[in-house]
Amino acid sequence: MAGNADIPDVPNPPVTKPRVKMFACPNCGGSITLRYPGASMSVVCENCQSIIDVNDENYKILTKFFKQAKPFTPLIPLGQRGSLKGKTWEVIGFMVRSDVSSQYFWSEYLLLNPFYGYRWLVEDKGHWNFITTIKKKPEGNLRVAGLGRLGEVLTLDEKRYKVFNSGRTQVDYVIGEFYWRVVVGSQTNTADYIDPPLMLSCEKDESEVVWSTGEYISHKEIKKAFKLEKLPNPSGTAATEPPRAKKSWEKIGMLWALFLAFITCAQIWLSGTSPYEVACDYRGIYLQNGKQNDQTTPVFTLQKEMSNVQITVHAPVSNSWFYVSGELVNNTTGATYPFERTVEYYYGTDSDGAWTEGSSESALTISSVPGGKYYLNLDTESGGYATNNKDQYNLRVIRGVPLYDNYFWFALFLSVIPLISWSSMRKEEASRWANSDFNPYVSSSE
Amino acid sequence: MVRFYFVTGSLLCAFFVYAGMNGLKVVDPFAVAASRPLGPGGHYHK
Repeated sequence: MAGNADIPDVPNPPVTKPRVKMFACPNCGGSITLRYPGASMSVVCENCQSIIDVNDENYKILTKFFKQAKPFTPLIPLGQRGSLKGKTWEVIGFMVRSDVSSQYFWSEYLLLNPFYGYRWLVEDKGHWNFITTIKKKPEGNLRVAGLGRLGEVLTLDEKRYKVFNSGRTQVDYVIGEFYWRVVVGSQTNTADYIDPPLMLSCEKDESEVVWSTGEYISHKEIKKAFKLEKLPNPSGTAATEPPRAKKSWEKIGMLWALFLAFITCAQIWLSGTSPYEVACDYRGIYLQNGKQNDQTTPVFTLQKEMSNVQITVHAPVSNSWFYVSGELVNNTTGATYPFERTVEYYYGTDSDGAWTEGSSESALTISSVPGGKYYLNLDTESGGYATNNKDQYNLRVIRGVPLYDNYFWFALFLSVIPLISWSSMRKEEASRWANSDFNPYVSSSE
Repeated sequence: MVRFYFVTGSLLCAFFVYAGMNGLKVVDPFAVAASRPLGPGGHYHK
């Protein structure tokens, strides 16, 4: 984990006042304060911004009169101390770096605790990462550490990091003191890998390859740690910002699968145990091309305290139609369940060949009908017949049929929140990878 | 959101079983729709 990767966890030693060394700038004569002589190798003159080699006895100037038309201002003042990861750190250096090709800028703060060494705080659009240099190398395709062809995935401490960016960066602005001879304009090859909220970075210059790990820190934590009055709010989604929507989606997706599995099993069980009992099988007479009103079936019994009822109507229709309007009446309470149903069947030929339409049977299901004694009142009507004879229709009342509609509706209801969660996860990840050269959310054709 | 989904999902599953055991059609948009004969091509029969 960042912050204590290579140093055992020991009690935090008391922070002592550094032995400050002061000398005159060899360029402008201004006073320079070196907070950590012996540890720092270069320091930037606050007056003329020349970079001075503090290990040279004559204070050799590394970069003379480096001036920016618009100097960058550190959000955390140099010399400010703050407690992060349970340890106290002092900001001793500040630099602004940029990607050479895209001119994308970010800030880096060098932290020092004399006992624990150096750390970095990297700020990018209000997002912060706490960076620790590591000695361990990650596993993966490291054949070309010059970053020409680093692997897309690297593994370190059983965590898989995906490549996020690679390119050439340069130092644009520095103030404070540093543990190496910092040079404005110096360039390095870099590659960043992420496994939010963690990050793995590789940096290579002419002499060395440096690996470091980072961990996202909220700007509120930075503000509190360094007792800052103001700190810009983060904008957009940072590369290492904790993937809240993704974590949420992973849990919701699992619940979704469980719920769907549950209702699938329940549906199979309900279908297998539904009574599907024929309570009434009525054959009635109707007039072709006419009406036949006020037919009543014998009383029949609907078993079970509460269940549905399916009414199926069959009539010998052929290029004709049959319509029945009726009501299911409770013989005890008088409660009625009105219904209508039509059966119609047509056939013929046209320029496309033979066609048929409709069926000689139709069914409807009445939901939640209490058990008891029932009968049916029926009115019929028909048309389209070639003759006006009497004919016979069949009406069956079936108690307790399996309901498949419910399964699909509940599957839909159960999918609403997962779809919202997936959508927000997708949005979050697309936003995170928007600044990446390896954005998986953009097709190669775009 | 996870907790909310856990609670509502569990309630929906329980309601699904209840509805299935009691023959309740939870969504039944055509329950009271008129079913007059339309004839071929959807023409109303007079």
